[in-house]
Amino acid sequence: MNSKEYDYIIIGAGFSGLSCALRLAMFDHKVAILESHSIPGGLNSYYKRKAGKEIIRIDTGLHALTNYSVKGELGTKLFPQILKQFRFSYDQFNLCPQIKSKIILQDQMIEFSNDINFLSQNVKNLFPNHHQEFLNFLEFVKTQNLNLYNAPFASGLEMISSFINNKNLINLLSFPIICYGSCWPKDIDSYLYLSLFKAIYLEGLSRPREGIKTILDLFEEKLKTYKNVDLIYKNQVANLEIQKNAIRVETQKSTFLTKKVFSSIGYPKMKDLLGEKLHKENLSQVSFVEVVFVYDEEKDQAYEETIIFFNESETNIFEQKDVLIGKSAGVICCVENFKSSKKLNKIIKVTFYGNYSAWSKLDKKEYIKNKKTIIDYAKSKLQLYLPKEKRNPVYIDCFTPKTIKRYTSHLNGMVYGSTDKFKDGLFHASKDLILIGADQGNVGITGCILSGASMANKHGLSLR
Amino acid sequence: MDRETIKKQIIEIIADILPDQDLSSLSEEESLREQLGMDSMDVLDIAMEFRKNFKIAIEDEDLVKLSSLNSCIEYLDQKISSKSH
Ligand SMILES: Cc1cc2nc3c(=O)[nH]c(=O)nc-3n(C[C@H](O)[C@H](O)[C@H](O)COP(=O)(O)OP(=O)(O)OC[C@H]3O[C@@H](n4cnc5c(N)ncnc54)[C@H](O)[C@@H]3O)c2cc1C
Repeated sequence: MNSKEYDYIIIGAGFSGLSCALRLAMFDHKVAILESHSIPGGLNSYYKRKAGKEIIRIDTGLHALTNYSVKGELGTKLFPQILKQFRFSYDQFNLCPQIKSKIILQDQMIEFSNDINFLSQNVKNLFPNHHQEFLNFLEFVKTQNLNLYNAPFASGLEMISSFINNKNLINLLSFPIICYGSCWPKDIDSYLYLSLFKAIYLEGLSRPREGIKTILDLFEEKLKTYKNVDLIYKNQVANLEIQKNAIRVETQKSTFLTKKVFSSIGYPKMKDLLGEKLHKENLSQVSFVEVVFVYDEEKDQAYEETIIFFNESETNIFEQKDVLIGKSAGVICCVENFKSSKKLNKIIKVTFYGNYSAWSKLDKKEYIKNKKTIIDYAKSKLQLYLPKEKRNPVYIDCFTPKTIKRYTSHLNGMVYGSTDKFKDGLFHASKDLILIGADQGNVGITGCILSGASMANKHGLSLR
Repeated sequence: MDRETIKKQIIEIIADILPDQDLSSLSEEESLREQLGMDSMDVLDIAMEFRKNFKIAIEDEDLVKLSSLNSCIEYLDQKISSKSH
């Protein structure tokens, strides 16, 4: 069988794979992206459903894009960096910023928006004795150079505790950070803590008006303008072999030879494809169950929360041992409550922690039954946290860690990667195998875009 | 290649990287960092584009020389003329 040759092969057309391939392609390298599915996006993709009279597009992941910036902004924010790296212009993203979001933990509640002064004022009102500590922490976050960070796991919660001497305030501020990026059960690496603190509070949340497809199309269309790129869908990599002068990459359909592989499928899966021993302890248990409510009537303008992070349990934020969902905590996202001059999709999402092994034990009947129970449970949370929301949904969907595994191949339906992170991308004796995405140590859409770009820059591009 | 042509090409490269910025009043002397908030990652990108567009090799140590429009022009001028000899 003839094998095709490329300078670089990228495994996975999620955000880290797309961005990595585009950076390499921009500077004339011959690259191929191999993707199991027929469309790009991975954990952040989309599908179409008939809802009421209309056919609508539903995003599989996207609550919000972190790292908001306004047009023309210069400086160190991440979003302008992304625009520059890929030569996109701001308006192509159609970003709609959040109105405001809420964090509710037991009987405490704090609001934040894309203006850090609003959060700061709220901290001052609720925790007057700790406001200065909060300001000190802000200063600390601003001065950290996240590009150079390369250290083993250090507790993010301990880090913030060394600044802020109030458990409630720490828990409030940390909850969204952990929801949006931690693969560890009760804590988060300080590097990720800092980058997500910046991403969520200092820079802020937004959403492309038409959802995730806008960003996927930007990448895909730009990639297609390069003749030196092949975007190869429906090709699942089944085997990897390190040969003397090349790496051999096999899918069920073809064989490829390349100098380097950039992979977004994670450390455990890469070990698996190389036929090397997989250590189970690297697997994270963090996955999601998400209920999607679609409406056809206009929203009553009476509430304007964009995202609500809630946790009702006192001791443990995460109940994810062997439960179908972590009942006490969740995230509600109201797509209509981003600021926009045009109408946004009438969708509300309710997301809980979910555990893959609990879901995979169910037979088909029980699986469907449990999904129904969880949809009802999600409705009760909507009534509690958005009492003014009275509409009847015209379409409801629910996906589980099993769904996530089926569509992304991530073991356990892992959302934020395995618990080992390789910040320089190198995980193997061969330096021609490079990790991008969550296991490289960046999470979220903007984080993964940056991951793909920075690993391409570091390992794939040269000035000479 | 004369100085004006080089300058024009450099501005085209910067415009490609920063499509949302107005470059009409860009000063030749002032640093690109000050004027356009360009950081080391951007300078690397400018260098990558130079390499691609002018077919020249650039040493890592030379990146510091690419601080202003003027220094970029000088650097390229030198590189291109030494290449053609
Ligand atoms: C429910 C949910 C909500 C989320 N909400 C947000 C949010 O609001 N904001 C945010 O910033 N982030 C969010 N995220 C996280 C975000 O989706 C991820 O961090 C990011 O998309 C990961 O991108 P990636 O490229 O690293 O990996 P992936 O997207 O997982 O890409 C990996 C790709 O590799 C492909 N693949 C796997 N195995 C193979 C193989 N053997 N051969 C070929 N291809 C293969 C997969 O099909 C997939 O396309 C959410 C995630 C989920 C699940």
